Amino acid sequence: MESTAELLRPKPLSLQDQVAAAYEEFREDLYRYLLLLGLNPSQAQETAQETFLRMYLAQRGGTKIRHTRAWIFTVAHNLALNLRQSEQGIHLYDPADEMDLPSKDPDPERQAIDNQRNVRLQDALKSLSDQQRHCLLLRAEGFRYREIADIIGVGTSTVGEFLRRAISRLRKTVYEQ
Amino acid sequence: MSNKFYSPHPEDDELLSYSDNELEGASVGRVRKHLKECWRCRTQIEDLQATVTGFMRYRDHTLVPNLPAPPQPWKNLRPDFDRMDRESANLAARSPLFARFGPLPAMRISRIAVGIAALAVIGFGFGYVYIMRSMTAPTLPVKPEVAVSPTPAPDPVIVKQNSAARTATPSASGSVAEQPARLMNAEVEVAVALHKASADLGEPVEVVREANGIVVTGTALPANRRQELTAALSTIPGVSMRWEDTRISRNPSRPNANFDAGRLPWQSELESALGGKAALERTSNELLDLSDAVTARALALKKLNDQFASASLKADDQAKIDAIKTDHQAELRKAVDALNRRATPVFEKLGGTVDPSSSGAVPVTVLQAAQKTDQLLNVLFAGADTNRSLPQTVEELRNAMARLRAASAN
Repeated sequence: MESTAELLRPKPLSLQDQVAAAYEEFREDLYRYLLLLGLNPSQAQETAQETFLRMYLAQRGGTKIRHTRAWIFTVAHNLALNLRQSEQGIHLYDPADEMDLPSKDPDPERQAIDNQRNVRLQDALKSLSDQQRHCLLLRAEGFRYREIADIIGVGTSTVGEFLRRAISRLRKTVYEQ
Repeated sequence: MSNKFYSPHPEDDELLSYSDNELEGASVGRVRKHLKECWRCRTQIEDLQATVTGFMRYRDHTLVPNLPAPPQPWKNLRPDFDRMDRESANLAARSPLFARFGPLPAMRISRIAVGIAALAVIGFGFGYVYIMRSMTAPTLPVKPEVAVSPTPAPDPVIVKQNSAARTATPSASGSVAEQPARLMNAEVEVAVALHKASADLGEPVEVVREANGIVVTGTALPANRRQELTAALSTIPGVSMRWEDTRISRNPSRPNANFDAGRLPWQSELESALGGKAALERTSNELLDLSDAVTARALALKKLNDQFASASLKADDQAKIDAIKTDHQAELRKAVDALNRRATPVFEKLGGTVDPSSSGAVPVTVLQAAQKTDQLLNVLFAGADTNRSLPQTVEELRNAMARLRAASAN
């Protein structure tokens, strides 16, 4: 018979529970990232779901995942690029194209400045190379350079270089016109 | 020899890394100190931060809130998990080999699904063994046979390959193993060529395996260096090169001294012990250059291990990689010896002792020992920030160098 202490001790989560918990926690982040990578909403949602199925498969197969969030972003990133590659020539989904980007500032003058800056930022983001934009988006998601390097498959110093170029381009476009 | 008694402006990427808390080692202290002194760089880093802030505001307040919601309610994945469990259990029941070796990589299965189906009909076990024997990368993560998507699963183990590489499609001839083996061979040849050209010692050269070959990217390399590397790499089949420019060409060696006369924390003590300012300058430059050489070799060894340790190489490819390692190890030992020879008279003048147990008390890798030595040399001779006293620094440095000797001798 189990002792009281044993009964009170929390049971370890099953693999299904662990993946389900990760799914709850990270799916919205992943969906957002996939939209910004150029997938349309249906593709982004399906790819996000697919990623967690692969996580389950990988762990069932014995893969040890040390950094869950970085792992799922790596998998999702690659699934998204595969999807994009298979749809070469088809216009990429750009959420900003469908957005009205009005400033909420009550001051009309401030509003005009904000709106102009938003449009410039939007244009500047479009002008970045894929890798520069990926680095910027992943940095904005809170990943460190080493994690970004792993996700997009380049060296850490290259991530620094891509980010430098991205920031430099944004600065020029937005603030130096 | 370069004069290191000046304070060069950090480059933009260094400033960005510094503001991102991504800078490591002695560079942190050097940049921090430089920023205290330099209005231009302080303004520059503020500009960088303002740009980042502007982008994050746009992202968080404008872009993200306007993103479309998921078109469908989020799916409950548990039925899919159960289905995968059932299918794996069925396979295991049908084949003791499956039960023993685990499931096949989905990456391969999804691409040769028809072949696998046929093999399953005539006997899953035989087909499984056949394919397992033909695989050249046994370290690929194992995945259940059920393919959950027509897109192949990326391989989180070989993270340095790009997405295309992780999804390399086997040729129609059915040779699952041919392409990875060919790529692996090309990657080995690239490593050999870069080693011969001494481009594996910290130059900004990246090697990435893509679907159709190896891509070598060099950043901010002078034109003559590009030509050298192009000549060295162009004879390897399946290798392409990309040369990227940066606004300012960078010196691959570390700009590691940032002090003017009188700026070192122990300037007068060091000058007095070593025989004046010129002697201190000479000693600093030589020790830091030697430490650079040690660290470069240690890093090259680590990188080589990371790149090929888990790869299943053919015997001749493995021999080539082993030869590079042997060469790095020999050069590392030479550099460590030279560093010790140059440091010995300095230690005689500065004092301090070596803890006899330091070389073996805490096992460290060569790279760890080299980085610790480099860090302490920077504290002593390049003005990197520290809370240590001079005797503490000297003693720690002597112990770090003893550990470096021990680690490099293994």
